[in-house]
Amino acid sequence: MAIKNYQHISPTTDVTTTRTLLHEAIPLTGTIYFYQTGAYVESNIKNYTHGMFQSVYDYPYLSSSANHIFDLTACYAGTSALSSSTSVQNAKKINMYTEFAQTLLGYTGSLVDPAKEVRYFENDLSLDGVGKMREVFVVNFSRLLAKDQIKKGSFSMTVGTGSWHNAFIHPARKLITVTDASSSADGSGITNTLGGDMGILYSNKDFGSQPTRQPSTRTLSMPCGALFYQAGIAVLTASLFSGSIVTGSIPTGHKNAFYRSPSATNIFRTVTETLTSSAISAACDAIRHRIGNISFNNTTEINSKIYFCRVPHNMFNYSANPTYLTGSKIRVKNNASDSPVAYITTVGLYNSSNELLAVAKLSEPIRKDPTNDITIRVRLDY
Amino acid sequence: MAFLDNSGDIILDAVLTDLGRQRLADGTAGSSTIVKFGLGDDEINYGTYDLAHPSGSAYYDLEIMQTPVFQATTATNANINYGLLKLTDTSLLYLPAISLNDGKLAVAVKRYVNMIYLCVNDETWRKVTSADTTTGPTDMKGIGTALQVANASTPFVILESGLDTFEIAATSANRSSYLVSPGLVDNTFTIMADSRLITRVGSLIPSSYLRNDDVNYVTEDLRLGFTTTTGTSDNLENYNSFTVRGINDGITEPATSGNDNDISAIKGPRGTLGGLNFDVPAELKTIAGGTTAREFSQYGTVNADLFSLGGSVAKYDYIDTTVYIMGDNSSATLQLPVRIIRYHGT
Repeated sequence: MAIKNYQHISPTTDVTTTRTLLHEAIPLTGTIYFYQTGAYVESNIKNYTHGMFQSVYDYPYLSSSANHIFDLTACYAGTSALSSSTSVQNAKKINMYTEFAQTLLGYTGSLVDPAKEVRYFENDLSLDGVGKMREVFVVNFSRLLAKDQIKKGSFSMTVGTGSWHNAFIHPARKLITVTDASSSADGSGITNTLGGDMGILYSNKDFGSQPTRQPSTRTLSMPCGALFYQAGIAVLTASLFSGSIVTGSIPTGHKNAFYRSPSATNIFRTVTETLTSSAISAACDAIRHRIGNISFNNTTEINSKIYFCRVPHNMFNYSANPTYLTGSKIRVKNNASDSPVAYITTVGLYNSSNELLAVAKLSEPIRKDPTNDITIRVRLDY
Repeated sequence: MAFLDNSGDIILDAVLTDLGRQRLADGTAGSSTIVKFGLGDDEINYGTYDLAHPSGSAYYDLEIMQTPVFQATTATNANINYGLLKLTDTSLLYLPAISLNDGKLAVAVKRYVNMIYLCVNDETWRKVTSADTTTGPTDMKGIGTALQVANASTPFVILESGLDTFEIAATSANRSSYLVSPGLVDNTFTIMADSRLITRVGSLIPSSYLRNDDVNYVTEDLRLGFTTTTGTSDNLENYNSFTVRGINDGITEPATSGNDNDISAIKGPRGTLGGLNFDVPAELKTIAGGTTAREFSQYGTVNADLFSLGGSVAKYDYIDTTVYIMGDNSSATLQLPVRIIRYHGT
């Protein structure tokens, strides 16, 4: 029912606004999308007929309780040395690169400039055309996880660069950790792009084209990708996995291959060969089998409006509650000279048409009598 | 709707109501702006306030302070139904109540089994009150036992606002002291009714009056007009609010003879008196053999031997609804169960 007794809220003295950033830790274990009790987890993976990207869920994706975690794709720029009419899904790989690049970085030059081209992902913050990453793997996280943005300086991803059989334990290759450790929530270590704030991802170990890379004991900080915080997109350079396939009599699983075709033919491919000769979905499988744990803090921006509901000492001391009276006599008084008392459990916030727009409940009743005035602070989050 | 954890500090659980979210989405200027607040205590049972607690006044509200409070809900109802009052006079010992006259006055309709019967047409009214043959319950025989929709003549609902206690004599002086001075006279009442079933509410016309004399002889001219034609949306879902007039209730304790309680539902000083009747959508008013409105099957019962008359004497369609009444100054409330009834046939 509509009530009849309201107290005015002054917009100048009784209302204020605040902004709060809320962070949640998001740990993603590799068992969700990679390896579980001796087998690759493929039931959580959704591939599409268009074949342009792959979606990863935390549960078999056909289940209604499955949550979308991230998408994966493999792509390269049109100017990449890998771009060729003979490359598998060549146009789609270029299209994917262009889509990400033009959305996140934009174009060089003006729109009418015939020489304009899409900006390339780079391994530094300068966007000066130096350090281009033309062949990349892209991980774009679901908004369910990243919320408003990834917290700067919190991102970490372990990547196995070993041979396809088990990229994490191969004795001759490296388990590296990719972080955005140089970025900070205070704005240092990032640059502003069309796609929002961008930080650089660094590997904690070196990587390159050495065919027999050994585990490094040195602590390095080598740029290997970019992270777009608001978009929730991590871009990894394909050169993280570059190397040649070892031939000879070593076990099949230890050939340093980036990818092995699941077909009976046992085709082994380097990362370069994978990007040119395999479909995007196959390249996604290969990179997915190399991603270990991912962790970051997400950020939710909460804008709050705080209403100070000031209850004067001489008002709201009686109640229309049906139990307040016995007959017509007030239950909480013996004599007319006794102070009236009422108990507040609920605050209703109304517009000028007396429509109830918000409700706040107190966890326990508050006694209200003429000896006290009360200010109840109601915060509404948006 | 669980309870809030009350084991630690006092916390405040605030939510936007579904209407609040709708108004935000509307974006209509001002409609989503919060400009005032109200306070509620719906969970509290003041009957547990123990003024005779042997341990003293600090323990009077021991039970009340331990009352668990529900979480906030997004529904606009079920949050604040009654509310705290802004009355500034701290010396009040009595507050008004609203009571149904329930047939004490000749013009007042009488409830049957705790419900007001609202007949959708004249045929139904004649059947229910057995005006022609016995087609209704014995207790409903006579004209004062059922309403007929949109009918400005008697009978109609009479409700009274005043101090319902024998502790204060029902005199004009007490009316002035206990009701007029503190501003507790309800010159208007808010009627909240289901907008799907009730489209108009009739109200007493301004010239209406009611009084008694020293020997309790009643003089009255209570007439209804359907000038209240539109309702406004209310915080109860599907409900509209109507405002009806309250006229001075001139019943006082007779000085010479008679008992004023024979003609009034209020025991002490009376404030005002209101009259009500209702109108329903046209499709509900069809006579027997006509199309039975969808509402009867959707919200109620059709072709029922409602009065257990047996055989094929009279079958009725009916819908039960509740009308809420609130005094606009006193905030006193009354719930009025109403049965909308239609004669279906034999």
